[in-house]
Amino acid sequence: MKEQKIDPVMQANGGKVKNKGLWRKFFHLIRLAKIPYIGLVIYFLLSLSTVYVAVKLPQVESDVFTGNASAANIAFVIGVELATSLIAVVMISSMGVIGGRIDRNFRNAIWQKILRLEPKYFDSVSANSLLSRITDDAESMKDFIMLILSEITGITTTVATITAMSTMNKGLAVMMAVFIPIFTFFGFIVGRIKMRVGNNVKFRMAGLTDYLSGQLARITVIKAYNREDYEQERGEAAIMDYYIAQRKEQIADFLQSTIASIIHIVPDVILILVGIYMLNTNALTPAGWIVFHAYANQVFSFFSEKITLWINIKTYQGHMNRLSELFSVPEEGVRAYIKEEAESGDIVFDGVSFSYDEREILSGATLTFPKNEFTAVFGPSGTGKTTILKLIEQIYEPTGGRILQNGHEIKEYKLENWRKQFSYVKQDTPMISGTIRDNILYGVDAVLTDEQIMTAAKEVRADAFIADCPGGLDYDVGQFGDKLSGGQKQKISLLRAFLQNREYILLDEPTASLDAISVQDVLDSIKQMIGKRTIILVAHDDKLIRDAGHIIVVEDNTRVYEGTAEEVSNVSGFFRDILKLGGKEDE
Amino acid sequence: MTKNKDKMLGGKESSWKPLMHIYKTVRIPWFLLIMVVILSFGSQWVSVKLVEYSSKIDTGTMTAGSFLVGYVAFSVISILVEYGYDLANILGNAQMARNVRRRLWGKMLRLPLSFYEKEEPQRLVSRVTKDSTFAYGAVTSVIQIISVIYGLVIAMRPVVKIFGAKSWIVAVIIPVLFICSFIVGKIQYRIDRMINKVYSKMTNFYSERLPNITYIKTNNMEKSEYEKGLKVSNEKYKADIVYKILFALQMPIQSLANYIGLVFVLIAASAMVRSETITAVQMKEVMQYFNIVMADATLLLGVWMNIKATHGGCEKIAEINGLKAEDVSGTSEVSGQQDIVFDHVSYGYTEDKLVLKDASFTIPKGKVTAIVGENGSGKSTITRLLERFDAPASGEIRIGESRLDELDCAKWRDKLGYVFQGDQMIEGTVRENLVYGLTKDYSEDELVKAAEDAGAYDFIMEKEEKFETPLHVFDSEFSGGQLQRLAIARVFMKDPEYLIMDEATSGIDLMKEAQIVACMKEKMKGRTVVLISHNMNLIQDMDHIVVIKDGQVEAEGSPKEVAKRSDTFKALVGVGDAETASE
Repeated sequence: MKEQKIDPVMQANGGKVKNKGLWRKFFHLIRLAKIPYIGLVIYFLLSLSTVYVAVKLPQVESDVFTGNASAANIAFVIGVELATSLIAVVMISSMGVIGGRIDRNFRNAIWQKILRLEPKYFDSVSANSLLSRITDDAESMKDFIMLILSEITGITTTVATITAMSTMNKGLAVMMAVFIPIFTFFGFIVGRIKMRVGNNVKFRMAGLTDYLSGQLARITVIKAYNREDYEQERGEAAIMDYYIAQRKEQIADFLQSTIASIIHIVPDVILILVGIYMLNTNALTPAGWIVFHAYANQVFSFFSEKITLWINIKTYQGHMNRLSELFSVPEEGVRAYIKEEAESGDIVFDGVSFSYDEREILSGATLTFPKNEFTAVFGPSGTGKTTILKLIEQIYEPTGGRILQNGHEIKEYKLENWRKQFSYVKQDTPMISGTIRDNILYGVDAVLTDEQIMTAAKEVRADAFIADCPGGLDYDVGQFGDKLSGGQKQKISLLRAFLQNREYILLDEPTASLDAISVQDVLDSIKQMIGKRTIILVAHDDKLIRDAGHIIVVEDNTRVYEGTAEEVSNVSGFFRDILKLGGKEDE
Repeated sequence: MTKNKDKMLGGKESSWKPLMHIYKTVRIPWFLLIMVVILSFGSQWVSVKLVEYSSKIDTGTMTAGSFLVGYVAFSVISILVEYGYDLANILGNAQMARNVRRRLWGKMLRLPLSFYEKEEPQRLVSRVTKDSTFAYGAVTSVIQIISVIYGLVIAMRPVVKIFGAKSWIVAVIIPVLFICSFIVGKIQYRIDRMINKVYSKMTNFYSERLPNITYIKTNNMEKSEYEKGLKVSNEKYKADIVYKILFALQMPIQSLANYIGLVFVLIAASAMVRSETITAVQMKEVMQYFNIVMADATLLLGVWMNIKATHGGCEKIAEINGLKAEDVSGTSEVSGQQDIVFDHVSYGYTEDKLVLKDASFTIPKGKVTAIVGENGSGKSTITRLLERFDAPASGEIRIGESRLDELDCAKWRDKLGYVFQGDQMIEGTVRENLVYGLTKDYSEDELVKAAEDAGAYDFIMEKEEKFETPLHVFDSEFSGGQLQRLAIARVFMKDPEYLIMDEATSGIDLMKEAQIVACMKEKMKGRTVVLISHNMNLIQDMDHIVVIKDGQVEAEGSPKEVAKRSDTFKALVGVGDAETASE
C-alpha cells in the first residue's frame, strides 16, 4: 500500500490550496454538521447579557474612579462580576453540547462515507490519514464552526460599544475609525510571524521524529553491521540541524515581534496624547475619558482577535479541503442494478484487461472458472493472480472486456448480493479484536451454537487449537488478531468461510507464511470442501496440483493459460518448473 | 505540610533521583539561564513600575511631558523584557532539549536489543523527542519561584502602605487560592483521564477497521460496522459533554480567591475614598498592585505544578538515561573457521518461559547447517544468541576454543552476516544499503555480482535511478520479496566468514529461492552457514541438520540420520513432499 506523501513545505505555507468553491464546500459540510438550532438560540439569549455588561460596566466604573465610590456603585460592580462568572458557566456548557453534537455528526457522516467508498481508493490512501479525517479533521471543522458562532457575541458587543462611543464624542469616534485599521495592521504582522513559526516547528519536529524512529526501527541491522557510532553521528547531526533551524527562527521572530510591538505603541500613545489635550481643554471630562478608553480597548482587542482568526483560517481550510475531497470520492454499489439475485454458474473472463498505475496487469485474458470445480491459479509473484480474485469480488473493475456469470455481466447484479456468494480467504488473514467466536462468525448469517461451531471446526482441523486457547471460543484475539499465530488465524478464516456456506470460496495463497504442519492442516481443510463448492485458489507452490481439476497459469499480462495439468504443462514453461521444484519429477 | 502538598497536588511519591541524574549528565545552557534570571526579575520590577503610569491613564489623570516620556520608556522596556524573556526561555529550552536528545540517542543505539522487545521504537522516539522539551522547565521554574516571590514583595509594599493591618486579608486569600487550585487540579485530572480513555477506545475502533475495509465489504458487514461505529461515537459525544460542563465549572472555582480579593479591595478602598483618606487614583493604584499580588500568587502555584509536570514528563527519558548499555565487553578474537558449540544453553525472555532448554548441539565449521522445528520452538533465539544480542541464562556458547562472551563483540559481529525475515532496509539509496557497514573498498563489479546472486539485479535495473533509487523505512516502492533480496545482496556484499539466514527467503517465490540458495552455497564454500527455513526441499540438501522441539534438541546429524531419528523431522518432511510417501 502506498502512502500519500504530504509535502511539508506546502503545508507550512498554509498550503497552496484551492480557493475555488471554498464557500460551497463549507456550506455542504455545514449541512452534515446538523447544528442544533435550539441550543444556539439559548446561547445567543445568554450572550445578550455580555453585551449589556460591556456597555454599562465602564460607565459605572468611571463613576467610581472619579470619586463617586458609593455603596450602590460598588455593589453593582461586585454583582456584575459574580453574574458574569455564572452566566459564563452556562454559556460554555451549552457551547460544549452544541460542539459535541456537531463533532459527533461529522464523525458519523465520515464513517458512513468511508464504508461506502470504492475499494480501490484505499490502495492509495493510508489508514492513518483516514483516521485523521474522522478524528482531527472532524474536530477541526467543529472548532471552526464554533469559532464563527462565538463571533456573533463578539460582533454584537462591538457594534453596541461603537454605537455608544459615537454618541459620546464625534471627534474621538472619527479618530477611532482611523486607528482601528492601523492597530489591526500591526497586530496582523505580529500574529502572522507567530503562526509561521508555530507551523514550521511542528513539521520539523515530525521530520526529526520520523528520521530517528526510522533508524531506530532498524536497530537489529545497525547492531549486526556494527554501525552504532556511524548512526550516532548521523542522528546527532539531524538533532543539531533541528536546533539550528529552531534558533534561527526564534531569533528572527524575536526581532520582528519586538519591532512590530514597539511600533504598535505609537497609535496607543497618540490616543493618549489626544486624550491629554482634550482633558486639558475640557473637551472631555475624566469620567468621559475613562469610559471612552475602556470602550476603545474593547474594540481594539476585538479586532486583534479577528487577526488571529483570519490567520488561523488557513489551517481550517486545510482540514475542510481534505474532508471535502473525501466526500467527493465515488462510492460503490450506487449504480443501478438489473438483476437483484445472482444465479450460480461458471464465471467467465471474456477478453478481460486490467491496468493499475499505468501497468497492464491483464491484457485480454479469457478464462473460465467452472462451477463446483477446484481451480488453482499459478504464476510468478507480482502478476495478476490476486487481481483476478479481486476482479471476481468486484473490488476492482476491468478496464477492458467483460466478466460473466451465466451469460450475464456480473456488474449488472446488486453488488451486495453478488458478494454474498463468495467467501474470501486472504493470505494476510485480516482480523478484528474480539473473541475467537466473534471472528469465526464474522459475516456468518446463520445463528449457531458453540457446539455447532466446534463440530464444524473439527471438519476443518481447527478444533484442537481452539481447545488449547484459554477460554476456548471466548479467547480474546487482541488488536488485529495479534494474540494468535499466522496458522491459527488462517484456520479461523477457513472455518469462517466454511460456516458462511457460500457458493464460492476464493483463497489467496493461504499457506504462504505458515510452518509445514499448519500448511498440512490448511490443505486438509481445503480438501474437505472440494466438490461441495466452487473453489478458486491462488497457489504459492505445487501442493494441491493433484487435487485441482482446472489449472490456470498467469505468466504475465499476455501469457495466460488454462486447462488440465497436462495441457498446461505442455504450453507453460513456468508451470513445468513448478512441477520440477515440487521434489520428484513426474516420470 | 510537604506531604500534604504532595498528596494535594495529586503527585505520586516517585523518586527525584533520575531527574537529577539528567541534570548531572546533560549540559545545562548556563548563559541563557542567567539571562532568564535577570529578565524574570526585570519583568516583575517593570510590572510594578508600570502601575504608576497605567493607573493615571485609567483614571483620566495623565499629563504630558515627563509622564508621557516615562510611559513610553517603560512600555518599550516592558516589551523588550517580555520578549527577551520568552526568547531566552525558548532558546534555553531548545538547547537543553538538543543536549538531552543527543545524549539519549547515543544511549538508545547501545541498549540491549531485548529493550526493544518491550518498547516500540517509533513510539519511544516520539516520546524522547517530545519529552526532551520538559527538562529545562524544572530549572527555570525554580528561578521563577524566587523572582515571583520578589515580585510579590515589591507589589505588596504599596498595598500595605494603604491598607495597613487590613493587608492580612492576603494571608486568608492565598490559602483559598491553593485549595481551589487543588480542587480544580483534581477535577482536571479526572476529566483528562476519562476523555483520554474514551478517545483511545474510539481511535482503536477506527484504527482497526480502516485498514480492513475490504475485509468488511467482502464479508458484507458494512451495516453492522456502521452501527458499531455509531455506538462508539456516541460514547465520545457523551464524554465530551461531561468534560465541557466540568471544565466550565472549574472557572468560578478557580476565580473564587480573586473574587474574594476583589470584593475586599473594592469595599475597603471605596470606604477610604468616601472618607477621603485616599484619592480615586490611589484606589485604582492599589487595585492594580493587588492584581499583581494575586497574579504572582497564582503564578507561584503554577510554578510548583510545572515542576511536578516536568518530573512526570521526564520520567521516561530519565529512565532511559539511567539504563545500562548492552554488554559488548570481551577481548579475544577468533581466527579462521571454527566449530560453534552450544553447550547446555538455556534462554527465556521471562524467568518462567524458557525458549531454549538445556540445548546442546554443534554447528560444524565450513558446512551448511540447517536448524528446523515448528514455529516458536526456539530457532530464532539461536541466531540472536549467536549475534550476542542476548546472553544465555545458563550454559555456554563456544566458537572454537573461545567462549562467545569473551570475544570482542564488534569484531565478532564483523565476521557474521545476518539476514532475517522482515523489514531491514535503512533510510538511504539502494547502494547505501547494499554497502552498509562495509569496511573496505568495493568495485562496481562486486556490487553487481552480489545483486545478481541475490536475484535483485534485474529489478534494480528496472528502476530509473537504478542503484541510486531511494529506500524509505516507512514506505517503499519495492515489494516484500524484492526487499528480502536486497537484504540478501547486502549480506553477500559483506562476504562474511559466518552466514546466518533466518527465514531470509520466506517471502520469495520458490524458483528464485532455489537460485539464491545455490548462489549462496557457491559463495560460502568452505565457510560456515546457519540456515533456518520452512522449505523442506531446501533443507534436505544441507550438510548438517539440527532439529529443535520445544526448546530442546530432538536430533542432530546428516539429513539421512535425522530422518531416521526425529519424529518432528519426519512430520515436517513427510508433509512437504507427499509424493515420497509412496516410495
